[in-house]
Amino acid sequence: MGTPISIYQYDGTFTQRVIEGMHEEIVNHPLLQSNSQLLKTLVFIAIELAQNIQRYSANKIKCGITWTGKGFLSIEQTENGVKIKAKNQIEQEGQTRIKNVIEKLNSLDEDSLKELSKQQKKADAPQNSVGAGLGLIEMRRKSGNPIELEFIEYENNITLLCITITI
Amino acid sequence: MNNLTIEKTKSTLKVFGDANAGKIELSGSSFPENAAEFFLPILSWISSYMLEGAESIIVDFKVDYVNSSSIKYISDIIEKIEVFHKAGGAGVINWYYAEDDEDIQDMGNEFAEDVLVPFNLIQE
Repeated sequence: MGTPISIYQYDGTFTQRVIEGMHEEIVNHPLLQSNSQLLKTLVFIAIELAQNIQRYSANKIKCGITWTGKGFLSIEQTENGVKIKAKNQIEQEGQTRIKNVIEKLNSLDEDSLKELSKQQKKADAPQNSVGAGLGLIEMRRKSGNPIELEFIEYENNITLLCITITI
Repeated sequence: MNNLTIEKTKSTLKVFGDANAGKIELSGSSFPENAAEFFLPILSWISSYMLEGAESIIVDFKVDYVNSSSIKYISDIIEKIEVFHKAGGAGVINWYYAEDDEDIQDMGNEFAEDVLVPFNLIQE
């Protein structure tokens, strides 16, 4: 088994400036220049996961007038493809909803995901969501692989949400 | 009516709405921190333009990367043009994509599948 090669890693507050820097770093990474389609997909998924941390992490700090989430994101080249991992704290009550959404997406075929994506584009954004409710659907579609999910229980009603997507 | 000019940033589109020409162009990459804050003034400018008795509007999308929140607002812009077109206005959407950019081409194809307004996919 080969050792994974780290392409990007960040642990901290996901300000917009950090996400813009991550975008630049990925786009210019020498390992990714030979496959423009992989690069496009990777950029999309990394930014979606980073913005999920920015918006929905339960561990937030105040940056100016907005609250910004803290978490962890890494990108590694492995034998089985490029793995993007994101971790952030969530409140335990959100765990079942996230699990159900991801299990449903993982069970759908390409055509069903496309249909769901079209419906979501025309629908109102889900309640308690700053985003469009499209992110997970599009990540699942673009990666072509199931979204891997793990929850690690903390204390005080907090859980660590770990998402891994392989391209 | 005033033109709409928004300069591009590292995570937001360049936008130029030309009220005299009846045309609006959106270009670049879009992953704003708050998509509503960025796109609502654009939707509002289009609505105002239409309410001023416009007979036609052309929207040029020249995007190279858009996050999911931005896709939703692009869908809203397209829907607005479609409503205008159905009401008797002449709406046209031009969707530009680079030769090797399957993502943007596919995105354009998916929008084109469901709209009843002239939608041109143009390889740059």
